[in-house]
Amino acid sequence: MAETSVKVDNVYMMFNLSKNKQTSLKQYFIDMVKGNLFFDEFWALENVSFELKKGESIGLVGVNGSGKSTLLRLIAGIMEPTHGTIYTKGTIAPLIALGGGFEPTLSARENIYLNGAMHGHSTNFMKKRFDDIITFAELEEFVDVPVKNFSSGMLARLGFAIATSVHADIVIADEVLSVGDARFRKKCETRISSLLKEGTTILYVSHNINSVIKTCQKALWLDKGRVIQNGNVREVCIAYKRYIEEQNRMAKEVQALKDEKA
Amino acid sequence: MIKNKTLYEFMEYLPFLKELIKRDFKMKYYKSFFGVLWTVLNPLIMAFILTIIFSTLFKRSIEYYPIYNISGHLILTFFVTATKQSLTSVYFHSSVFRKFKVPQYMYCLSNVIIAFITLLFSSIPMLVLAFILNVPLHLTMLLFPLPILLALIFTLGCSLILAAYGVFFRDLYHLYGILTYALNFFTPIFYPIDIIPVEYRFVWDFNPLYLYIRILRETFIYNTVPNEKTLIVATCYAVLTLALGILVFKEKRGKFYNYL
Ligand SMILES: Nc1ncnc2c1ncn2[C@@H]1O[C@H](COP(=O)(O)OP(=O)(O)O)[C@@H](O)[C@H]1O
Ligand SMILES: [Mg+2]
Repeated sequence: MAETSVKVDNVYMMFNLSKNKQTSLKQYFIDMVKGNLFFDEFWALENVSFELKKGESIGLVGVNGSGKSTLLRLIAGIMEPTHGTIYTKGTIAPLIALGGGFEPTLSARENIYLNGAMHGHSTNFMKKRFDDIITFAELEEFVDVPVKNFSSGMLARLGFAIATSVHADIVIADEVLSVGDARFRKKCETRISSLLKEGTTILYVSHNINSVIKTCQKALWLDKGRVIQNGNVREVCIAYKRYIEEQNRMAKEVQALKDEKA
Repeated sequence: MIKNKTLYEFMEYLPFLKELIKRDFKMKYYKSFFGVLWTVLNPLIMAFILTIIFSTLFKRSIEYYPIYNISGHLILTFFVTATKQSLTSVYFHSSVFRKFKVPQYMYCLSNVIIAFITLLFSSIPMLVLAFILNVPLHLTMLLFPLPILLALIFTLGCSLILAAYGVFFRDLYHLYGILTYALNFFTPIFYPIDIIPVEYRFVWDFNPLYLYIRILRETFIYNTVPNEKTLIVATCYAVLTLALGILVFKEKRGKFYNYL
C-alpha cells in the first residue's frame, strides 16, 4: 500500500461574515456602541474527510460556492481549519485561480523568480528550471516584457508552468485551465498525467467535467460545504452531472410556470 | 517546538524576502536616477531650508545646527516611511495571501529594510556635511551606528503591530497619518528641547524616537557618551517593542483569513 499523501479528517471551516463588513475603526466603534459585535457565522465546510495516497489524483466537483477553493486553500496551508485536522506529506505547489501573485510592472523573467519565491524556492533553484518554464509556457519572445501586457491566457500558462515545473509532491490546481485555448489545455493535461506517473499527488478543480474524468482517478462532490459523494471519478461525476441536469430541468419548469402565469 | 516552526517558516521564505527587497530596491534606485538623487538631496534640502529659517533663532543654543537638524530628520523619516508602508503592507497584498502560504510579515520586513537602506544612503550627506562644517573628529563618533540600530529594532516592532491592526481597520491609515504629522512637532528635529517648558517635558521624554535622535546627536556631534540609564532605557524600548510586535502579529495573523 502506498503511503498517505493528503489526509483530511473531519474538517470544518467557519467564516465570520460580520467581520467581512467590519473593516474600519469607525464601523467597529459604531457596532460596539450599538452592541452589535456578534457573530454572523458561515460554515463553508462541514465534516469533510478524505484521504489520498501518493501519486493519486482527485477532482473536486460542485456548484459555485460549494467550498472547493476553501478546501484547497486549507490543504495548501493558506488557512487553518476551524475544527478537524489536515495532514500533508511533502512540498505543495498551490495554483489557485489565474494570475496569482504576478507583479504587473515586472517582466516575465523577474516574475518567475518572485513567483518561485512565493512557492518557497530560491533564485538558484528557479534558475535551473527557467528555460523549461519559458519553453512550456511558450513565452520565449516575451521573457523581458512586463506581464501587465500579457493576456490572461499567457498569465495562466506562466502560472501553470511555474507551479508544475518545481517538482512538488502535491500539486493543487484550482480552475487554472479555464482560460487558454484548447491546444494549451491539452498540453497541460499531458503534463499533469506525466506528473502523476512521477508520483505527484494532484488535487484538481475544473468546470469542465470531462476534463476531471480524463485527469483524475477519484472525485469528491461538495455541496454547501458537505460531502455528497466520494469515490471513483466516473461514478461521482455521472451522479453530479445527473444532478446538474435535474436542477436545470427544474429551473426551466419553474420558469415555464412563471411565464404561464404572466 | 513552536519557535522552531516559526524559524523554519522564516528560513523557507527567506528567498522571497530577498526577491522582494531586490524588486523594491530596483524600482526605487536602479530604474530611476532620480530615486538616488532624491534620497541624497532630500535631507540636505530640508536641512538647508530649516537652517535658513531657524538658525538665527537657535544659533546660540545649538551648535552645528544643520547636522543637528539632519540627524533628527533622518531617523524620523525612516520611522515614518517604514511604519506607514507597513501599515498597509498586509492587506494591499491580500491577493498573494489568498493564493500562497507566504508569511504575511515578509512585506512588512521588506518595507522596513528598504527604508533602512534609504536611511543609510541619506546619512552620506550628513557625513559630508559634518566634514564641510568642520565637526571635530573624535572616537565617540564611531558609536553613531548604535542609535540607528536601536531605531531599526524599534521601528520593526511598531511596523509589525501596525501591519496586523491595519488588516482589521482600514481607516487606521488616515488616523496614523495625523499621528505622524504630529510626531514632526513632538520630536525635536528643528528646535532644541530647552524651548519646551519643564513641566511638559515628560511628554517629550516618552518619545523613544527622540531618545534615539538624542543619542545620535550626542555621539556624533557633541562627543558625549550617553550615560548608562539612557542606554538601558533606549535598549528596553527597542527590544520590548519588537517583542510586543512579534507577539501581536503572531496572535492576530490567525484571524486574517476573515478579512483578506
Ligand atoms: N474569506 C472569506 N470570507 C467569507 N466568506 C468566504 C471567504 N472565502 C470564501 N467564502 C465563502 O465560502 C463559500 C465557498 O467558497 P469557495 O470555496 O470559493 O467555493 P467554490 O470554490 O466551490 O466556488 C462561498 O459561499 C464564499 O462566499
Ligand atoms: Mg473556487
